[in-house]
Amino acid sequence: MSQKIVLVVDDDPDVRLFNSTVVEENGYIPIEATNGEEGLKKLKEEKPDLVILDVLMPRQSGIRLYRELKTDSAFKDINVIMLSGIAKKTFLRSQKALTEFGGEAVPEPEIYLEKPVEPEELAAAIKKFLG
Amino acid sequence: MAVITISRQYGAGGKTLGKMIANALDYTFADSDIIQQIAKEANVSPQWVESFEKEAGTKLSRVISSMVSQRWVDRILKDERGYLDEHIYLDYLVLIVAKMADEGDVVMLGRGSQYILNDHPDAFHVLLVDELQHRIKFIVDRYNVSEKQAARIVNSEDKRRLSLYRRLGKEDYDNPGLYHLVLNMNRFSLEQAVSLICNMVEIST
Repeated sequence: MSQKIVLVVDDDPDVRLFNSTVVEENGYIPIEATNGEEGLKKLKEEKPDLVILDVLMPRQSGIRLYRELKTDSAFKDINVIMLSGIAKKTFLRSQKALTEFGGEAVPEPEIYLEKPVEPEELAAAIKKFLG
Repeated sequence: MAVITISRQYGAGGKTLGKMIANALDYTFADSDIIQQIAKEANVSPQWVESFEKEAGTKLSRVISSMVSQRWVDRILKDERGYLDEHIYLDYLVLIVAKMADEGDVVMLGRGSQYILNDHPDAFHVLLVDELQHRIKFIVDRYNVSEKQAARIVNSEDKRRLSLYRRLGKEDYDNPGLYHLVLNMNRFSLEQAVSLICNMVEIST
């Protein structure tokens, strides 16, 4: 069975390194993107099994990538772990507002972790989806 | 830990009143702060955000949107490392407004904050209305422009507001049901309005 791929999207190089290391140490292949725009490109090219996504990033935020991912029939079944310094309730309120302003309704992220996160916590979240 | 949103017809004194309320309650008046934070997160200059907001909802902005790819390239070449379009602006706006509201003790002016925070447990939504002639006079007095110029500004801002909300699918922004308090500023002085709003916050928190 081929190794599963995890797309790590974060503009902070230290966080990308941390996330990718956790992914790799748990037996999966990390691929990285530095913003939502690049993340969407890699999503289409690599078709990952899981996405670990930051919220605040320049050149298309994680908010937009999450909405695009969850409203595209080709990607909506890919699980997403949101990993952000933004509180979950703030993120959910912003999603609700975007829907109210004419956007398509999207489900809540499967897992939302607030930074800083321990490696064990992230590993457990990844394993929940990838086994 | 309250958050007060002020929506207003242009010239009804929203900005002045917002600052006065923030001073009275020792809250932050978030107006330029929102611009600064959007600029920071989108990695563009505050001037770009400011001009984007001024153009938002106008015919010009629609023309610009159709040319936006070239504009992005132009901006990037001019040291702007990020870019801004309607989606990106809105994404950051709703997030930053929600974040500031969760931090509390803040007065926000416009930008659809009454919708973004419509069910926020600590939010108070205020709408300021006034008669056209009084709004024009307010602009003449505050900004030292002629009556004719002030009338043009008020008309243009009224149209921009209508157009902007239409693009967001919202046309009920003057519906009193959206607000805790609707003040006719033709009937109250700014000082009286501050007292009313501060009392409302005090008795409700």
